[in-house]
Amino acid sequence: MAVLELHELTRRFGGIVAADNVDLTLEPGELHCLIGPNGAGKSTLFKLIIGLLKPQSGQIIYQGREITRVQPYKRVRLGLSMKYQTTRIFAHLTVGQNITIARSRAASGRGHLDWALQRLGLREHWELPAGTLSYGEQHWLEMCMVLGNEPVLVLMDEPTAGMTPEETHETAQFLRELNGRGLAVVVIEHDMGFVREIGGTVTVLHHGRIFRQGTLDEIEADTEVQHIYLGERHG
Amino acid sequence: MLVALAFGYFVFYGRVSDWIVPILTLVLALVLETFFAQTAGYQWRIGRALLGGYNGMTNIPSLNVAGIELNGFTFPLYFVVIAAVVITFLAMRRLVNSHFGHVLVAIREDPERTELLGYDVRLYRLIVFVIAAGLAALSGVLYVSWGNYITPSAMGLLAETMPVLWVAIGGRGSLAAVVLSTFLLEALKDWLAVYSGEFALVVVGFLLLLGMMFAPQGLVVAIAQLGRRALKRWQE
Repeated sequence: MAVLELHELTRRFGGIVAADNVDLTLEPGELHCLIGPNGAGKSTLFKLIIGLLKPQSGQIIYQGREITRVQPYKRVRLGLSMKYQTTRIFAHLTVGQNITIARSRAASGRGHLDWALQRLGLREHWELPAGTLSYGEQHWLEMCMVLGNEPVLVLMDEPTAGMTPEETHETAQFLRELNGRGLAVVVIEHDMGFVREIGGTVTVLHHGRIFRQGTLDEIEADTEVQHIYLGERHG
Repeated sequence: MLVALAFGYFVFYGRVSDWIVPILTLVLALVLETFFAQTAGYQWRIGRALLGGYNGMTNIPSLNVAGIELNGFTFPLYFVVIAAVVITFLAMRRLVNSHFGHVLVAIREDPERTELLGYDVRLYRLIVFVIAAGLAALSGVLYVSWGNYITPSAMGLLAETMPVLWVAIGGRGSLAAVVLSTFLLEALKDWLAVYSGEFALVVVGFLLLLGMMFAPQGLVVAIAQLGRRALKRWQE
């Protein structure tokens, strides 16, 4: 059974169609990259999946159960999780307090959170206010926090935005290892080098629609995909 | 508390915008004030107690615990009030430092992020709202036991504003600062009221302005920080 299925999901903002009849299926343990020009509707799709936005039509099925109208916090308790594009941590609280708040008491102990804390070296900063961490570390802290519900599927919106090349490489390794622990991971990314490094299926979104799907090599060889990217750049 | 529960349910579960909530709360209180102000006739009564319209309810008997009357003329009530303040303060401290309290801080900083960590933000807000209503009810009971009367102005605009001022001038990050600022402001108000009731409010308003301009974290907190710094320098 698929972990997540989107059926004809549509969301409009006034005249703009941010998600246009999107059909997408994610298998358990899948690693998936979502790419596309600015304004293609990538973040909107994440917000629809997690429940921050409600679709005008279509269905969201999670592990065989329809969750289209389920409140966001309940989706999180069911095993969905999302990292924001800009880091959203509790900057005035310590790293430890951030993690304590994020750690769900109800979640069964698959241990993803503790593994991630160890892996990203955040335990060393336990007593520091989260806002004093470096930019990359703040991203990592949020990545750990979204594992607090021991999720089945995590959505990562541009996890490497503003990171140094070393941190980006480290993050790619981390996400691959996380995926190796059995989690389905979906990543929105602009950096094609990063997409290549983590591998997995690539979906191209354009004007709210699914434009292409395949491996990165297939996508990069596609002249129409090149066209939408180049077209975007040249205005 | 039941009224708060019902009101809070509609406000928080209806996902009313954050900045609208205090306005709605204020409006509810003013509506209730207006309602109670027109309850002058004999048809408005609960049991044998008349609601009394704008003059309010009078001759309310004081609390009587184990034969000791807690009224405004003798000492027992005074000790009960002190005990209530201490117990409430300690209970609130415990609450703020608990996991529940940490979640509240998280909600204050970023409600959406908190919801995406699996917390039902609406429920937390409702619980806090009802706790606040319970504390207000406790203070109401003690007030009536002291003065044996209450008028609708106890839920008027002024009565609504003062707690906000206590917190703004004290500092919303510190329970102790708010307790201190409440004592100081009420003492100041009573002292100045000897000269003129309205004059006291002008002074309080001025303090609020000063606080917002120079110490947005709270006047009492700012003074405490200054004091701590001075003490450090003196020790060195």
